Amino acid sequence: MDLLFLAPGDLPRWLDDLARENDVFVLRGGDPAGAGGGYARWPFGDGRVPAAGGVRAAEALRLFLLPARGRVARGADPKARPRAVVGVKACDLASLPILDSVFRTGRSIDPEYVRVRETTTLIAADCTTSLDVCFCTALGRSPFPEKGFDWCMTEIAGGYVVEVGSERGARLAERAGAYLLPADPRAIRARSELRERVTEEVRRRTADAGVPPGEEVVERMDRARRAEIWARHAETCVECGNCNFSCPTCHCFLLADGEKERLRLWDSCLLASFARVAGGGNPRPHLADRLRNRFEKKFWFFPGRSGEIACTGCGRCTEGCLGKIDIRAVLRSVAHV
Amino acid sequence: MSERSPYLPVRARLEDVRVESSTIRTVVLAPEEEIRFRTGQFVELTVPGVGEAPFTPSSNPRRAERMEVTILRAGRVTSAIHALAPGAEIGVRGPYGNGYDLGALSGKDLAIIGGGVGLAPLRSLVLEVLEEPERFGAIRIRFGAREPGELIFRGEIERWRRHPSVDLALTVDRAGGDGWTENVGVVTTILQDVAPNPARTEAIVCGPPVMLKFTTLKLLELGIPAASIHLSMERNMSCGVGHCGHCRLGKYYVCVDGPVLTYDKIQAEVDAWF
Repeated sequence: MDLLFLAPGDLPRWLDDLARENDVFVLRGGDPAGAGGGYARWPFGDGRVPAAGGVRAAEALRLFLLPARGRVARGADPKARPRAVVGVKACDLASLPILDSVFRTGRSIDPEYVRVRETTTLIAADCTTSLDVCFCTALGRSPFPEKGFDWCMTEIAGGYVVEVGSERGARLAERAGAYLLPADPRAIRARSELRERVTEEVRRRTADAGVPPGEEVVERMDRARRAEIWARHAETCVECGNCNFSCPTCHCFLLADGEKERLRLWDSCLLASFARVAGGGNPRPHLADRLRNRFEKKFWFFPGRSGEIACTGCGRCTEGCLGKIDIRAVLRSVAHV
Repeated sequence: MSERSPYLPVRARLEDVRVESSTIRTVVLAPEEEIRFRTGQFVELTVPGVGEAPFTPSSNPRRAERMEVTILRAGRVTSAIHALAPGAEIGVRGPYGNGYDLGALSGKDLAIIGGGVGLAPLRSLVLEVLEEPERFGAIRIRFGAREPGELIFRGEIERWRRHPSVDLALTVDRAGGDGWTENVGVVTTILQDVAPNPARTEAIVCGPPVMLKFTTLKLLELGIPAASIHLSMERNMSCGVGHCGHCRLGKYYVCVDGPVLTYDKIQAEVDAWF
């Protein structure tokens, strides 16, 4: 389908339309460097205008698909409204095939995940800048959305270029016909230039940080997981679990029973209790074992199981680590064993 | 696509409770919907309002309407199950995992080796094997426990011992003073003659992790190939369907690819034993 164009003044009006049938969450920028932005319910209510640029939200997209504390329901909630999430960056879209491989592939599927996934409209957006911790390009990914979205919006001077990426996106475009124009060649050129510039920026950061390519990490991991590199990196870990909780692909959870209902709670493989069995035995008693497990899972287990590295290069684990463990430094060690 | 959440149990009535030892009980369950399981598969049992935990049934899978689960009191959920009386309601999910591959075992000599509450899944296996003993070669059973009072299923064990296809030996770590006449020592001390023909023997081992480890080393020493050593791996299993991530062991999720894994699949893993 041809690229479309949305004028800045029409974005709030289109979001209002979208909010008639959906609970709409829109990315709001953070500080001037772009860090710390997050999704907020539309309309914002504080007069701020939406934007589609900047960088990824502080919180991962999976928060919408697998809440940190969710009820295990007997069936769909008839009152639940569909959702639209606006401003999703490529590093969050990249988590979807990984989460799908866990929750809606194979013999056992999670009907609640499938329902939310299928009723969530994804309006993606290009990164118009990057963060110091970004390294998506090292993993063969891009800072602009390529697949997995209903719409992709690219913020350029004077408006947004809109790419339709699904049948649902095409229906949305039909209904938004009043706001959409065909994108002119100047706008299309501006989109390409932005993509080249930001991709180059992330490539440079990745090169400066010495991040090895994803395929090299995967190849080395079978040796690295038995090597003595983990204790050194785990030295400053304080077992807060933030690397897991901020990660777009981490999927581990606990089932816990309350008085009336069963809950699904996020769990963290860095916590000592994660693999502990009844009676107290623990296959991974040391932090070094548990840090190794996290990397082994993402860069060895998932590539073998579903063909994908379960890391999107978003850098949230580095950004949020109280012990200042930098995933890029760990990957450098893996590549050098 | 089924709309039912895989994380929710079906109801079962607790029909009976048997005290096996001071720390082990067998509960007899009648699920509202029949749960057909293969021997070696596991189920998740829920005590309403308390939580759930995984167990491998100890009963004959050919008697699906009455599932027996033999449980060691080890933590919160197992203590709550021990506190239940007949008539109580309990939740069951499953069955999960692969179970014992009887096809791969048939035509072979079997070395069935258990320790402690690890006898529970093996009781299910022995009951099924003895339905058609002619499918197998020699059936050699070696069971151990810490002390005589903790060696469960004594009555049935004596019946199996008299079966013409069965060769059975028992051991306890400490005999105490109550007339124990058999071997004293850990289970590896009664394995010398468990595989006279190691190339045609399949070993099935279930017990605590430390027992699995030393039994595996002994079986390798006897010449049984790693791919013929079937181990019931113990891992923290919450969801049972490969979603929750807790039970990963190397390339495998113990809940879907196990709980029975042959040693060749895990021998390279640094956290295979604990």
